[in-house]
Amino acid sequence: MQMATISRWTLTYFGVALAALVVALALMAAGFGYPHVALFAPETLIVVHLVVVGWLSLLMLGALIQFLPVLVGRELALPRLAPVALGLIVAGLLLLLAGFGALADWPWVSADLAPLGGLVIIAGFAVAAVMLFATLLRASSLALPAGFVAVALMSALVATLLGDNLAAALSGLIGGDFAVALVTHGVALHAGFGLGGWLTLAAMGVSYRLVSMFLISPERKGFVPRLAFVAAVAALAMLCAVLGVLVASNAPWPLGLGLAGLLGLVSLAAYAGDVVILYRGRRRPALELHMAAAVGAFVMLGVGTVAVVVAGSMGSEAGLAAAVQVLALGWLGGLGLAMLYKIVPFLTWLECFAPQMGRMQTPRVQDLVRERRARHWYALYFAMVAVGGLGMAAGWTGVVQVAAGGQLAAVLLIMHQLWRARTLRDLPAQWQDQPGPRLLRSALRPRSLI
Amino acid sequence: MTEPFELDVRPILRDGGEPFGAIMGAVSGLEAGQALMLIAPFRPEPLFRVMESKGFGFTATALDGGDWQVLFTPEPVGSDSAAAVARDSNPDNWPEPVHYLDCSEMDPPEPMVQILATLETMQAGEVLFALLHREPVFLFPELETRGHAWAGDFDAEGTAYRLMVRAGGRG
Repeated sequence: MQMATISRWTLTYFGVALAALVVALALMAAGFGYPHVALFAPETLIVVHLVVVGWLSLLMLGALIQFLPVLVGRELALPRLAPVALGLIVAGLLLLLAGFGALADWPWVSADLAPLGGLVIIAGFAVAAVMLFATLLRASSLALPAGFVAVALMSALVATLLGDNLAAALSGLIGGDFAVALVTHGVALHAGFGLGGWLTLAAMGVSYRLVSMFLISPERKGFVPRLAFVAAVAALAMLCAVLGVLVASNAPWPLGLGLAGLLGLVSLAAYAGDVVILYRGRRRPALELHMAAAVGAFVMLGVGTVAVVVAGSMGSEAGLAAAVQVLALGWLGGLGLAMLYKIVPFLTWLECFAPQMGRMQTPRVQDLVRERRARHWYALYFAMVAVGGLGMAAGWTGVVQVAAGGQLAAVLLIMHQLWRARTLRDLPAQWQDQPGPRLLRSALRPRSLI
Repeated sequence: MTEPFELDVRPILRDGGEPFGAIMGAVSGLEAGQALMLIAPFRPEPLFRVMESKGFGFTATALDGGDWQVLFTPEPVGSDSAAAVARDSNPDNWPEPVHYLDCSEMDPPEPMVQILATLETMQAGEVLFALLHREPVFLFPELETRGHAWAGDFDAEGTAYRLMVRAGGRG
């Protein structure tokens, strides 16, 4: 039966993810990590993993356990695993960060915690993958967005496995030529599988459907979206080949890496073309805030991709760091923050008003939010990401810190808006007596007034 | 009362033929209220569902030599029997829709609100037709909770989702 229900743990994932983002931005604003220390210093690794594992991965997994069932029209398989995966990933992340801390000479912790944490993170992702793959297998046919998600999940597993080997090499658990080769040449692969294969592919897949759904625009079909998918899969296959060469011979394979990058660019170009067509073909002229803010994220994807190519060809470390920051916080983080502004009110609305629909007047989903207030905070966020990227590329450490502070302020203000939506504080007066749902966990059955 | 029409499909099967066409031909040739007596070399389980959906009850009797004799009797219209329920679950037998809703330009969850609001005004058994931009996966649990039956599919181009809902008796 084609059916989807509210995922119980999605908002818990979102809450933990946002907390990780706040901590990461606060650390950056306080001058922790790059550019105050080296790019691969332990402090930088702490901030980067807080952002990529804590914020972006938990956000994506939380969204997928709600959205993948909608994509395939089947209920989530093994939903009881959702809190298990969350617990494992959070515990693993804390261990990993403690291990990195030991590398930065923190007291009472051991560097061995890093590979141990990596192992626990792998377990968490594996549990999540079991749940999500089992859901995918329930589908009678896989639409293109679901294909993206399936490939992205596999890439996430490779990224975590490779990351754990890196952590083991960094902590001195494994040594020799392989460890040296891994630390020297493996980081680009780890980032490629993580930020590219996992997070960007999943975001592409999910957004193909969400953008068409929210804009009421005809779904993209035919050659271009297929090209985006096939090129992305080919890029990942090239990355796997490069990894194979590294494992077999302890040597990098720049040509393979270049080809993977080229294929990735083809995929992103096709995707960008589709997004433009989706926006142009929309049936509602006015953009709601979440779709307007998403434009900011798409622009960041373009800017960040060009910056990676330029900085990569110039061999500029600061440029690459800035580009990766723009992609992680501007593209992936920005898209996530934008979508939260729709997903949180929508889930809250479903939970509170679905049983009353048609029986009494129910508010619109838009009545749960105040876009006029929130749009300033989204503008502030994207502006600060751009300033931070510029500052990082130019090596202005003070600017990077101020920009991180600005992002932190914007995120806290957006979180305040999301909290108001979740607790029904912005609802018009006639629904003021409506009891609100629990903040971070959805009810198993939608609650009813009657 | 009319005598049951008798159909022996054993010769067809013995010759390696497929008796389904002959059975359906016999069913459509029945007079109103007339029963069908079927003789087959096995108990024709799959046929029971088909005949139920066409509004027939059945009595199966084993004959000597492993053969079976089944008497399909038309159920009176409007009966509460299992056959009537089975017939009702087939959208082909639903009445013409009394409401047509075009929700294809509406923002989610507006289609859901419109459909459920319209259903609240309808009598049990009445049918609503709605045109949507996509499959309303969040609507289905709510339809089920409220006891409505539904059927839907995408049009040939895959750009519009067509949904029929038959209002259920509400509690």
